[in-house]
Amino acid sequence: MQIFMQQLINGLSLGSIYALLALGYTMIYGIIKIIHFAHGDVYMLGAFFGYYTINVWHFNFIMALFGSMIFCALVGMLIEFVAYRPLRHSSRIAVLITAIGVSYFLENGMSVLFSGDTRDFPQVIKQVNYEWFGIRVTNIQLLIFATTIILMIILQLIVKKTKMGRAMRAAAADPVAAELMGININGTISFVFAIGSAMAGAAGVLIGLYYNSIEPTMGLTPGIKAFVAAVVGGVGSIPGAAVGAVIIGCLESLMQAIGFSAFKDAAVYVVLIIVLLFLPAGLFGNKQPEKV
Amino acid sequence: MAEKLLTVRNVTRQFGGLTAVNDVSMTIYDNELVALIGPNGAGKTTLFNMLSGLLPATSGTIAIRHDGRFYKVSGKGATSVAQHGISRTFQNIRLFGDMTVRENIMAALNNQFKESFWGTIIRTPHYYRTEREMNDAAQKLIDRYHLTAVADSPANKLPYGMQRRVEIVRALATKPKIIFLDEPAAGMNPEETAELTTMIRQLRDENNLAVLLIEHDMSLVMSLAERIYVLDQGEVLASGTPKEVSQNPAVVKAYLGGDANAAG
Repeated sequence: MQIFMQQLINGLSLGSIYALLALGYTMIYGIIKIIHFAHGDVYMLGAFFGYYTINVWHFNFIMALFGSMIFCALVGMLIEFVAYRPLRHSSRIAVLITAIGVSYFLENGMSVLFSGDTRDFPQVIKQVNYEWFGIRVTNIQLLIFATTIILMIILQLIVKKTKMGRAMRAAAADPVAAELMGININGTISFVFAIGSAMAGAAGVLIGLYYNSIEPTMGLTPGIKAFVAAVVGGVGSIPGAAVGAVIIGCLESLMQAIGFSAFKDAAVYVVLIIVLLFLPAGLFGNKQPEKV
Repeated sequence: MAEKLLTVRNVTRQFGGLTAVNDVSMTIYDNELVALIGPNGAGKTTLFNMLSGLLPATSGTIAIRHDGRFYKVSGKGATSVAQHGISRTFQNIRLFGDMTVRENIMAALNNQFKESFWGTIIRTPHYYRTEREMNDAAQKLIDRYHLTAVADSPANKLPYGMQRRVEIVRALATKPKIIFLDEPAAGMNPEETAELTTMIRQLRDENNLAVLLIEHDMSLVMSLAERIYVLDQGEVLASGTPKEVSQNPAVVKAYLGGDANAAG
């Protein structure tokens, strides 16, 4: 039981990171119906930018977090502008391949610039362990929960209560009608990329602190897992992405706890297959067939 | 005398070898109630889609007067069309389904209010002011067009006739100078149609705008429209007042499929 609880805590930490990434996937899919495969690499860039600002500019944690969020927001808007906007009216497969291309470009570009070596992420916050009833929680894990929850609340408020949030939902529901009602579609899409990428940047800094190491290909696996989380939750649904991410994170930790570390990734993909077979719309997804 | 608001000059639209709209010219004046009628497949919706910037014309020009100048609509894309005072509804209702009626209307007010990037993120005092103003503007429309009871229900949960009304109010929220209604009475019962007729007239009278509507319900068209354009096989068959049009032998023939004299 103790081990179970301990792994649940670890799973929640990991799940929070996935949630930050999955939100970006799901929002971007919601508005332009593309799977932004380079999203995991934006997260990697966030981690590297945090590494740089802490080491070179001696930023503290908060500054590094905001710095990476702003940096990634700009990167996200740039990716949308350069890679996706020209293809707005192309077939989906073209956009999908472009997304994979952007992903490779970022990974290999970073490898060329900074070498493919693993680097130690500077520990701006000294790790402190707390123990309650035999369950160990680190201050970094608590920081991850807190940051994730705060960012998710802010996101929810933006989506539900602001002019831009209404534009986002309107554009996701019916881009043509939204445009005719005077909503600036390009601006709205840029905003979605900015917000989604900022969350990925935050996740990058947090994972750096948590795992202590970063490398140019670090975004690949978490990117795919976050994508799975978004699918499990129902692509396009923001609460779904958060729940899906926590499920995936906990599943991974529990697989490790019961001694199947080698199969933890496999377990995630098995969940993906099961969800796609039996609940293709995900847990919170729109059950109606998509109108084309 | 009313000024010209929307001019359509020799507009043609081809899809592959098919000519859906052929050399259509029409003019709409300020504050006018105009109906576009014609049998199925006459090209009415194609023409509407060109007028609202969704579809480029193969040839010809469409222009709208805005601040005293005429701007080309054809091939401009939908956003600029909205900015130049054109708004519309759709034959197959296209509300933002999961959003409430109020949110639908507020989304259409987007153009008229400015909110900064940081205001959205960290909620500056300016953000609260903008939100309040938008909400007030939406509330005014909700009250005026009797949507109070449904204001906070999701749009896709409303009955069909109500959704049509909401869509019209949403189109109105963009402050258009001309509004295109694509079969506003489709699927409505006679009672709802009567209410709709009142609403469209009220819409026009109170907002100083022109209305162009496509409609199959002839009693609605005849009681509402001041002028009618009849489209048949992509061409303007006739135009004029309801009386002139209803007595035009070519129109009678197209509609009844027989000889006008025999029918009369």
